[in-house]
Amino acid sequence: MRVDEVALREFLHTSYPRLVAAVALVCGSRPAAEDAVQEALLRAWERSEKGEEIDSLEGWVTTVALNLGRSGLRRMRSERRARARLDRSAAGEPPTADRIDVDRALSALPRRQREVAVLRYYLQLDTREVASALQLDEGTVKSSLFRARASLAQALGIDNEEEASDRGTR
Amino acid sequence: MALDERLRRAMKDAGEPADPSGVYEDLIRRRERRRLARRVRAGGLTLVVIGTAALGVFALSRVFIRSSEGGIAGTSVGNGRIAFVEVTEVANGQAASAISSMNPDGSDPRRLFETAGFGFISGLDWSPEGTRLAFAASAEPDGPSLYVMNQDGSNLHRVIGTALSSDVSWSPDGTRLAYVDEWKNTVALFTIGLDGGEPHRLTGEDQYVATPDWSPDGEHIAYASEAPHVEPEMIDIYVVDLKTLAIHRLTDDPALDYEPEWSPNGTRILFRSRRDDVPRVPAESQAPDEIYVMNSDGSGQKRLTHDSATDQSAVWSPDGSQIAYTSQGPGPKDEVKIVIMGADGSHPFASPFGGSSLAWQPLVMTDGATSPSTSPSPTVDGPAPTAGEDLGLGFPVCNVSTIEGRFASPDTNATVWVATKAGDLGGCPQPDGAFNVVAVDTDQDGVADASFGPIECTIECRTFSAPDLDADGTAELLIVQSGGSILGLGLFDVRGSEPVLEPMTVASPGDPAGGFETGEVVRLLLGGDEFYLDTLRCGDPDMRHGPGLIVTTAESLPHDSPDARWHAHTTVFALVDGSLQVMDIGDFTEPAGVDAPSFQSGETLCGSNLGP
Repeated sequence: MRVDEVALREFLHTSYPRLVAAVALVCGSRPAAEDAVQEALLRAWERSEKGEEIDSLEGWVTTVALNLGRSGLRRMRSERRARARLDRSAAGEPPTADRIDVDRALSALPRRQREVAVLRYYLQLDTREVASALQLDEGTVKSSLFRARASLAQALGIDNEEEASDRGTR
Repeated sequence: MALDERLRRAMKDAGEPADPSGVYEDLIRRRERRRLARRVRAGGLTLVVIGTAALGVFALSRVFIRSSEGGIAGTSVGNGRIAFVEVTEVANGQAASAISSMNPDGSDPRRLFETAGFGFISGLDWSPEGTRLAFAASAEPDGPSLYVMNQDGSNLHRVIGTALSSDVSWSPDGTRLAYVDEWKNTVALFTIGLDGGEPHRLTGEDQYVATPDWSPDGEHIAYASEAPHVEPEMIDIYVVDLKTLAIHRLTDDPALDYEPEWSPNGTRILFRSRRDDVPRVPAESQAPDEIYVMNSDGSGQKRLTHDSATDQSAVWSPDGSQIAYTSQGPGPKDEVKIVIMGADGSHPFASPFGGSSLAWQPLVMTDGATSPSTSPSPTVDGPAPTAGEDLGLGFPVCNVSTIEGRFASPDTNATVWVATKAGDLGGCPQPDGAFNVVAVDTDQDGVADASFGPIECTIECRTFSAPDLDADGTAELLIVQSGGSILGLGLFDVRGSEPVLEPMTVASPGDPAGGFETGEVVRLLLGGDEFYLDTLRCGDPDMRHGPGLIVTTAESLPHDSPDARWHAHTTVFALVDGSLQVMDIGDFTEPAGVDAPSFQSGETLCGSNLGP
């Protein structure tokens, strides 16, 4: 597909809000997530202008943004910028208790499990799409998801019976 | 409720969608900034005319050395290393560049200078004695500049800020640089002394100049020029007489002639042209360039390369027996290779490395001695252990990066390695998530005397430089833990003959506003872009607080305004017992114009490889 103004505006309207939220859940930093997704979008745009074919803008940007979001360096810079901005303006809404719980539960997961869980449960991608976005094979995605699921259930206080019941119904 | 559904709901509640309003406009501004920077970097002429692969826009530069045929009594000249600008594509598609060098046979690659914070590098040129390098840097966001430094990266000196950043050539007496810059509505040829001073303009409004090269006798400068008001593809080679300013045209061909390069004895000139393959075609054609040679009066023009690749940036070996050039193609995305061939075009040999802006180092030998080196300590990327050795660590290592310096004693060198534990089944894991370690060998017997690990690295994990931050005569160690266009650096202290090696931490009370929390391991940033800039300045006796480290982080606000100002936060540290003690904190603003911001200026950048 060609990445032009129409495609970008469409992406910003439909995919950007949730992709930023997803990357923020993975990397634990909202400023870093915004920075990573915007940088990925810009790279897609520039590559398309040079004639490079991008099959799926959403898939491409998701993959690149998650890669960018892994950079601790980028996170440091983004947070520093955000802190400077906050110093000059009113702080935003404090996070809710539930959101803090989920952030903590996710942050306790290994990175790959965290990415798989967020793509599966927040962006609601199927395992094939998750595998494509993370450039993993589906078996790895499934095993990571299985482990992430168990860890999240425990961390979020979902009892074993319910978990066991869930297993029985699948 | 099923667990999967519970998890979906929990994440939905936790994930706050972002507001996309204004993001498209931000992308437009960011893209336009990058485009502008690229135009400035490439230089008007090269961008308009060349239209070839990205590496093709780099200027040729070369060094003159008075050869044994006509030169300095009691000296002879040998062929040293070939320096080049290495454009690396690191993880996540983020490009970075560095100045590297290799032996002419393609062996022993070394990284001479990291270019983070300097933007786009071009126009490498060795000084006549082969100990210093001149280069042009786009130096975002401050505009292009010409720099000179020692070959180990020390003593970095900004000669002049320019509107273009493309071509530099050293005068044969080593006192001046030739370069091109915007002037009125054209691009003119200038020279300037290494100590600055007023530039001297050599061409007028009827020339549009690129790729200057100073003749070995010091009396002429050859260059490529487009004559204004003529067909734009009429670019030919000219020579200006520096005494009379008379200009002579050496080539007269409808196709592009470019990048003149004097032979060491001044009798011949290499150049690049498309004439045979594509006569009288538009210059934006993708047809390949080839390397040609002619006599210095323009006669006897002869083609030297015959292939389907784009060949360019040709330089003579200092003894005149060989020619090195870059070759890419036939496709624009094909790999770039540095090729070395005989002076007659025979026996081309492709080295394992690609790069641009080649410069072949002269080795000046006096009474049989070779003296290319002025600052041997510390040495970045010196002789490194072979991958698979264990360095006395008890496990095989790979990706070994080496630096030498007076870490433990002011009198003797020690070796420091940064290495990654090799994979159990062989191979070398990516630094991200691997077991990385830093080790010191004080007696240089190849066995580590102390080590620290694991250390976290993301894209890269290697040594960087060894400045003496506390002026005690021993070097501190800066290592790269996050690579790319912005470097994340860890600072290590090495102490004692039975060395203690550990990362430095921030002493109380720290500087939380600057990102330095008490007790945390220090992580420094170096580099930036048009909006954000992180700089490090190292110990300097003239500093108000004495030796130490000045860390500045700045943001240019508002991003899209000509009235933007740098909003800078500075933290001044002193080194106390392996910790960074905050000595001063300051916030200030200054205009974000073309001139380099004050916090970036000076010769004490830690980005250079400062010696003890």
